[in-house]
Amino acid sequence: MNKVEGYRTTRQVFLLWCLSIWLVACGGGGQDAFKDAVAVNELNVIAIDVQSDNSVIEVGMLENYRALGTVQDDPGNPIDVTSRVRWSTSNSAVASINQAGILTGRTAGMVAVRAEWADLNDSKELEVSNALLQSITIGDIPARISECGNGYQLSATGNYDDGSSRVITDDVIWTTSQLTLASIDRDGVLATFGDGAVDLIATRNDLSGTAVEGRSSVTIEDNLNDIAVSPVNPTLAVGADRSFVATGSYTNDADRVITDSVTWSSDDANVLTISNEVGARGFAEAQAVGSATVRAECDPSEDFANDESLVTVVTPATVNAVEINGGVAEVEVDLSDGDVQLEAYLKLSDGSTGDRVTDSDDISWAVVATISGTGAEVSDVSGSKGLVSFTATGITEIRARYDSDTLGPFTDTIEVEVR
Amino acid sequence: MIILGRAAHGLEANAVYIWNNAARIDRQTKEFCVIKRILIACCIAVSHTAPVLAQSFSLELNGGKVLAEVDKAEFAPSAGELRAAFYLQPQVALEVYAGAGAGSATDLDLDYKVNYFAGGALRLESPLRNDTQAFFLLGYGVSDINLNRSGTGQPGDETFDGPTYGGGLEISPFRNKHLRLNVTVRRYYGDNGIDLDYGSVGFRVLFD
Repeated sequence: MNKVEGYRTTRQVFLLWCLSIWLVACGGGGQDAFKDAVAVNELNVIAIDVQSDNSVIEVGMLENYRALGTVQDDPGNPIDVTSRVRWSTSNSAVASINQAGILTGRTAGMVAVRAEWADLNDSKELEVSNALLQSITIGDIPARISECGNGYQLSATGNYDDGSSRVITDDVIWTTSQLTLASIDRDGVLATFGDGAVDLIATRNDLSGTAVEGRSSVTIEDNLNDIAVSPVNPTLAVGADRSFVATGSYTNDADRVITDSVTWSSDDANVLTISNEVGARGFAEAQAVGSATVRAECDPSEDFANDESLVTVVTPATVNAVEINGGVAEVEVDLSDGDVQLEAYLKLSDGSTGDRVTDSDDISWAVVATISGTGAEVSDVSGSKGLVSFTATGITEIRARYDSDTLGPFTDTIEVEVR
Repeated sequence: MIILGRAAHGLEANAVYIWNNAARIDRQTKEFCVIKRILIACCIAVSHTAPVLAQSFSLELNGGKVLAEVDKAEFAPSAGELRAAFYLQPQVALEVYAGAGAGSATDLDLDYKVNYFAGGALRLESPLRNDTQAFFLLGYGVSDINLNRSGTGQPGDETFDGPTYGGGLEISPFRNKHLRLNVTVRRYYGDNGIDLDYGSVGFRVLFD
């Protein structure tokens, strides 16, 4: 074969090789199965459990499914693996589910909702119903609803034309007839602000789009006697924060924490701010030196439905000393006691005690002098700093010196008398 | 040579027949898809390269370590491989290979085993000195892996196929041009968190 023929043959073989590669290529596969197996073992999951709030939903409704993984070493605390499992339904014409576990009911029927992760799996039956919602019953209404109260959990039950009924608390729109007196959040939790008659309302459209309303009248009692704000007249350092709590006293009801029902205010926001944000009500932050009055108020029409707390904001305390064994001048030990551990703490300008620094990298321990008898020794080795050892009686003066990049140097001495 | 060429063309026809019939049996099985395509690809390659096979060829036996990753889990089973190279030019060859590996366990309670790997590659050589040369490989291969989670047998065997590439150094000990020792590093699969590399030491014999 000459050189030209050789190149031609090489070129033909190369093209042929490209063709072969195309023929061989069947695409990837099995990657997910392998990766799932690794992930399951990495998290030590031994079983999965499919959960949802409802076992029956209406056509067109969404339902959130969750998958919880049981961890071998901690079976009491399952982990959420909803986004890791592979979701499917036994009949996608009845209900379909995406990989986030959100199911959509499509036509009436029964389906099994299945979650798979490696060789672990679980499933749960679901009925998709085309029954029409006829009425809504509001339930779990407390016998007594006090003004300025909160945490009253209501429920809504849907009654359908096929005679069935089911809890639809999370699927209705909640409101009240007088929002100045009471409100209901999306989870059905009632909060009251004043007293008087009010209607609780739950609304939902049926499959034909017609609004179905459930309504229940209640009376919010005028039984709030007093509000107490705590802590009372605290002192805060600039930059510090504190959560205030409001407690209501009622005539014919137990005291209850009403922190989330009152309106919080500060008369000097330059000194102290306080939050009315949901989830952070009563959370105050000291801004500058001075004083400010925190006020918690429920019903502005009633003079007693409020309380105040005077907050003094001061300059933050600073570290100004180190103390050995609480600042005592001498510690006495018996020769038979063996080694004795000295303790060192930082002291703050307001007299309070700061961090323990006995074994800190920034502290050094040393014997200053042997005052009488045989001297003791003190360790300056990390892990045993401040440990005093001795073999005979005597008095030894020991010093701790604290010197960090930002604090100090501070020193303190103590006499250790071995008897 | 003519007889060899005819025989190879006959093999190709048979392979097409097998493919068509096999496709009727199961078009969904990916592994079968790979096998049947390798079969026909090899037949086509052999039939068209038959006229030049007489130039020279070599056989190599090597052993080494598979360095595999499945996401964060790493495995390093031992493996062995047989390679045959058919030279088209003095420094250009077409290689086919097949090998198998041992098992490898991890502290994640996963057992990993290379059932087999096989494929073909274009081999390009570049002499460095009289008795030393570098070589590069570019091809396509299939790797069949078994992963066993906590003794469940799951997920079991999976076949991965894709482009392969690599390279190495080779020397001719004792100044014998027919005997070669080499070290090679190859990537047999790498996609989406699943990697399979193979490093080996091999002994190769060239036949004129």
